[in-house]
Amino acid sequence: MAARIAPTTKPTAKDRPMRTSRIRRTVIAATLGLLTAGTSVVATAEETPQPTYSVAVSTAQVALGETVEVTITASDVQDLYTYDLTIEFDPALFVYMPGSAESGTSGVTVDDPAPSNVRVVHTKLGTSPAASGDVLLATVTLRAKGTGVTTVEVPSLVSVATDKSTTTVSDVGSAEVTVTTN
Amino acid sequence: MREIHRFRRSVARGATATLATVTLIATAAAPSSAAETDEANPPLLLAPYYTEADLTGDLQVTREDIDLALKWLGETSSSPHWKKVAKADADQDGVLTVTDVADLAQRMVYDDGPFTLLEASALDMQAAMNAGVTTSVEITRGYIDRIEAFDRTLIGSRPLNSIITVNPDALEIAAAMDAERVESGPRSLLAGVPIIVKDNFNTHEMPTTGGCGCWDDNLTATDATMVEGLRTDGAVILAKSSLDEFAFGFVSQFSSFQPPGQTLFVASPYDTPRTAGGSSGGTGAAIAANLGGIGFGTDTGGSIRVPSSYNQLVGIRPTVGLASRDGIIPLALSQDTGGPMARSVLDAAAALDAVTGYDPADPVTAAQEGRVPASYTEFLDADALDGARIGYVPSMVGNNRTTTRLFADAVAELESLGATIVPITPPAGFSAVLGEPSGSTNEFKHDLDQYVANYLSPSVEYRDLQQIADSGRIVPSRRNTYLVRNSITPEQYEAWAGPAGSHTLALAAGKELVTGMLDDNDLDALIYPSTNPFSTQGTNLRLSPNTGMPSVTRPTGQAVEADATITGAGVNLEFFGRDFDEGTLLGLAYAYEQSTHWRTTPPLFGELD
Repeated sequence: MAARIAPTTKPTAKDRPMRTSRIRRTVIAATLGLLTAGTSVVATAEETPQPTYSVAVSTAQVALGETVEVTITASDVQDLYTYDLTIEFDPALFVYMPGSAESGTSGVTVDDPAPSNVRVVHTKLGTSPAASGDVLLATVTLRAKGTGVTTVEVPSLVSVATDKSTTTVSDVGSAEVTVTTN
Repeated sequence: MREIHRFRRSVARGATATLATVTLIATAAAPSSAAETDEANPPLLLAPYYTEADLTGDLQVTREDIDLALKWLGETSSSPHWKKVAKADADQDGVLTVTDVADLAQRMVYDDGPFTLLEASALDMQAAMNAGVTTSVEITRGYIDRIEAFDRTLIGSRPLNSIITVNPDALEIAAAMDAERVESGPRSLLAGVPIIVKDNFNTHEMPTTGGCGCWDDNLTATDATMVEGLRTDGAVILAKSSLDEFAFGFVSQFSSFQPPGQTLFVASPYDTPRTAGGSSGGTGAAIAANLGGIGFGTDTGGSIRVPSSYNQLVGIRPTVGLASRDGIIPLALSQDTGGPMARSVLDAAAALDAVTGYDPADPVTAAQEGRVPASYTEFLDADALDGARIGYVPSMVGNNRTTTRLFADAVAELESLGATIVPITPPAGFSAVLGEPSGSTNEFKHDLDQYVANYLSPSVEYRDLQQIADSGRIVPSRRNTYLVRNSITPEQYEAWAGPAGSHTLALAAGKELVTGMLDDNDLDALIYPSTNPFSTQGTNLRLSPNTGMPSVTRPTGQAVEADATITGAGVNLEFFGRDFDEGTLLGLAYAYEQSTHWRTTPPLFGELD
């Protein structure tokens, strides 16, 4: 099995996957609790680093029949209680390994696989503290079933804060991977 | 959003043990419908917040509910499956979203964050134990460590002296509750919660001294009915607390396990040269100093409310007849009550749930039939004061500078929360109600003799008031009082407390007059200060005993230097109401508490190093 990034810790240079697409995206506030609080919040928002997200693969080149681990991480997260993301892949090249989805933060994680994607939903429970800082949002394992070059991508992420304000991030990230015959 | 029907669970990394716990909770104590809920083993009842989104019919949110919501994530109100999950649609937008999942998940009693014993509520403990962050054994050990470190140690100017006996079986009981939680989930909000009871409640594994060295050997064969109720709800009976000898007065002086002629006093954890109050002073000091989770005291004429007020605690003096007094050393059964003393209204309400019920051994409890809610926690609504109408009798406020200031502030705060506060001119006869004396003088001998006959251990040498007075194992200054009370004849008792006795009739008249006063003024409750800083306030404490009607007392602030009274001293506001209307009183007190948490932790009794 491919080496896995340790949970709740930021990948070190040594552990870092070979190819990473790190994308800073605009956050869309779907619930406007923060936006209605006035200028002081705006000032805080300027001082507070915005979350960044990355999608990485454990190896950029995988042999047919072998597996690759896709990792979605977030940095500078604040108050992340529940989140929902979908990992898209080429069904001709990969199949999701059922039950492999995991989160690096405590709570409940569920997966919902489809031929060309897997949706991962994670939630904290009760009054448990929400996740913050650098968070391993999800890892999923894909098995190579066809050869070629493809991109694994996470088109969106919905995150819910403790106060139930909801934020949607689009184009979370992607990573290229090549499947070879051996 | 597309529909998702077949989510599978997977374990969050680093949370395998946690999930195992949750899964067990989800599968345990989770009847398939409310109708199947075992009344002897009720689920966590924290209505409405923790129950209204329940999808599986067990009146609580568990992993089972969250799994169900995740399974049907994306369903809409037009879906045939909607009825299964509609209650989880928190924002009522007709679609089950991750926002709804977050809302549902937050209603689970669970917390995998750091657990701090200091000031922990029963709910905090349940959430941490459910998450596997701590155990009942760890919590119990933590309190035992605090008792050992703090209780008989000179801290400030005097030791607390709040505990008489620590239960030698406490850790074993806690371990059993931990095992049960793993096997079948928590049986109630008190499951595994260490509770301290005043040393006049019978406990089969610890002597019940009543604060008297004369009864050091009173190891009873059975528990008091209220203690049985606590054990049935899964509480860990942690210790027996000090009290004023035989629950007489407000200073908590006792002789248990002391050399002949010597006594101890219970000190205030806030101001050790001062008293913790009484007679349930040990419970008051111990719970305020975080030596236990929740406490129980008894109140004949103020013995729960005085130490609650001095120690910044919530206290409930229930309706006479709500909770059985059987197996409690009596003082005057016309007015005796047992009730919780706690650091929060929620804790007090959960503890009260455990001790209500009809007990043939205390026939007065027959009156409660049909008048006790499934759980008092149902009434804990932060908006309960909105629309409430509350009266006060100006003469009961007194003239202490701290008390008058805090009472005025409380009135303003209650009004700001939506209550209407009205001064009441009491009817003729109200002063007589407050002036009716305690039953203790005329009833103690009679009622104590009944206790001796029913429960006193055969190994106890001193078996009546005369023998007790002559034992040399008492608070020496009490001897004459014991002799006076021993001189009461059966005829005197009957003329006082018999069916047509003067006291019996006075209490009945008091109940009728004060209930009429509440009705005539359309009041939900009456408020008044329980005490002044470290002193009583007029005859306020007499109102509840002299009517048999209930009251709930909770902190309303502390004295400040500008008051020029006793800086830092706590004062409680008491909510008084109709028979068996504890729920209303708890709701009002809870709403007030949620607005301002007046309670403070005594600085001398912080975290153990």
